[in-house]
Amino acid sequence: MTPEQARRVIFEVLADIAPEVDESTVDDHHDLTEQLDLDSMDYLNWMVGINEETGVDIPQRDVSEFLTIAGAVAYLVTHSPEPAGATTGSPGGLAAG
Amino acid sequence: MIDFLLPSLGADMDRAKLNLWLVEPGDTVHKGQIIAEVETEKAVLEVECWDEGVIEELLVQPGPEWLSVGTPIARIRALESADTPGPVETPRSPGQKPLPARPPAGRPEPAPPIRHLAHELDVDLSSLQGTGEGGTITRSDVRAAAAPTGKPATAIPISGEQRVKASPRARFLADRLGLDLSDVAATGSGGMVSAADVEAQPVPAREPEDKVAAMRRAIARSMAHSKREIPHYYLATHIDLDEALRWLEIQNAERSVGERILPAALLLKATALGLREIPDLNGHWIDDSFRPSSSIHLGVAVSIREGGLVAPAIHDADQLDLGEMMARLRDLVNRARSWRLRSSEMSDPTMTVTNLGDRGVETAFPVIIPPQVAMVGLGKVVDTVVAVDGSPAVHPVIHATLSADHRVTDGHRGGLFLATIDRLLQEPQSL
Repeated sequence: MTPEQARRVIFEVLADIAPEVDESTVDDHHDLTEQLDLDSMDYLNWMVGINEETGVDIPQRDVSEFLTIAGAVAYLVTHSPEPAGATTGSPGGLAAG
Repeated sequence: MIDFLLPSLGADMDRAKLNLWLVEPGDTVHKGQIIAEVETEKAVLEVECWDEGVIEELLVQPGPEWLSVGTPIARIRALESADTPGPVETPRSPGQKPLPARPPAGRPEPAPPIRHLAHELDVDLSSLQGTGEGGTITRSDVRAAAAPTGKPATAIPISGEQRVKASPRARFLADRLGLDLSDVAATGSGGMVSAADVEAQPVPAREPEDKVAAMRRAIARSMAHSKREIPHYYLATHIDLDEALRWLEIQNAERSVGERILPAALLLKATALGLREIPDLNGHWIDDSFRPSSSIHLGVAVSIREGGLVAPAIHDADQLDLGEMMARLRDLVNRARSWRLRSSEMSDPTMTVTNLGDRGVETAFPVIIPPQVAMVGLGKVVDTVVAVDGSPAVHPVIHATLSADHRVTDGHRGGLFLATIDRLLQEPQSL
């Protein structure tokens, strides 16, 4: 998954939870719950939505990675399954994942 | 023949407009089935049917007129139970809209936001093959099904106006701009109105319908009534959550993100069990006397993003295990925020909890929602120095408050109730 794809999923799910949020005004590096007035249920729904859309599991210990948009994008890029056919691309098979 | 009456829709809510019928004459209906959508000043509510039978006639058509609670809105022919030993299958009429169905047993239940999206886009979930993990139905599946190239459209308007397919953001923008979604040219897949379509629409076609202002008026009525009539007394205590949160973390470590339990579910369960032990806080003050309730329907105050508040009920909250409590809470909050509550949820909470901890508030002093006689306020979890076996330790601590009606209970009973919640939270495994 590319950062652009991750970002698109993240905001698509967010739009269902907080429809008034305008993507262009969100600071990628600022605490998301504080910035967008999300409560713990909104925040959980957002992670559940991302999990459903991408198949990326978000174990309890990694929840803190999702405090910002930047953190969430980085997590999804690192943890999303490699697309079919791309697994042999990395010399020595040391692709991140 | 049974006259189906517009049901009670909550305290101080004595009228509603009929938005939509979800059944038509000839349809078989069962208990608990959603048969119509109505709108009060406070919320859009799904009306459940409490009779078994066949819809004989719809007495009221959708429209802008206010209907009083108790108005007959449909006529239902009762089924002869002796003649119908099994579930009754009536042939579907060609124009019959399928019920909002859940997928067949054995498949994972779609999350509430997915069910909501399916409802918005008129997609029948039972006809979908999920592509998510373990066959879960995802947003993309629902959106694909709404497209003409996917499954054939399952919903046919049967009465009233057809619900326009629109994304939640499009709906929000249209509401704010005062646009009628049916006036917006849709460019999205399956004729779905997207946010961009709404933004492209030049001039507002009508005055915005201000749901939030209507909700504020309803809150004003209810809260002024409370402060005028109910002699509140207030109690507060600190509850050490060290044991409870440690235990919850262990539980959550093994759960997938969709099954994770928030501390709120634990606190609600402890409150519900506390009401079992102190039942004189659970019920209603009607006609100058207290009427205790034998069931515990825990109201949960849910703030609406656009402003305002609703406090629908989690039914029989004391009988749910924590996983069920969490699922019900999540479903309720999501539906409240998308203005899709059910009539029974608004009409029968027996005591309410407000949890303002998420907003950084340490202590809440609730105003009782009449005709209830008590309300619990929960603040934020704060790391606090506490004495443990004579030595200082830092533990997560929450401030729990009780507002109660002095006509029904005194501080002593109220104090016992808060102490009971505290005790229950020290044994989280028993919740």
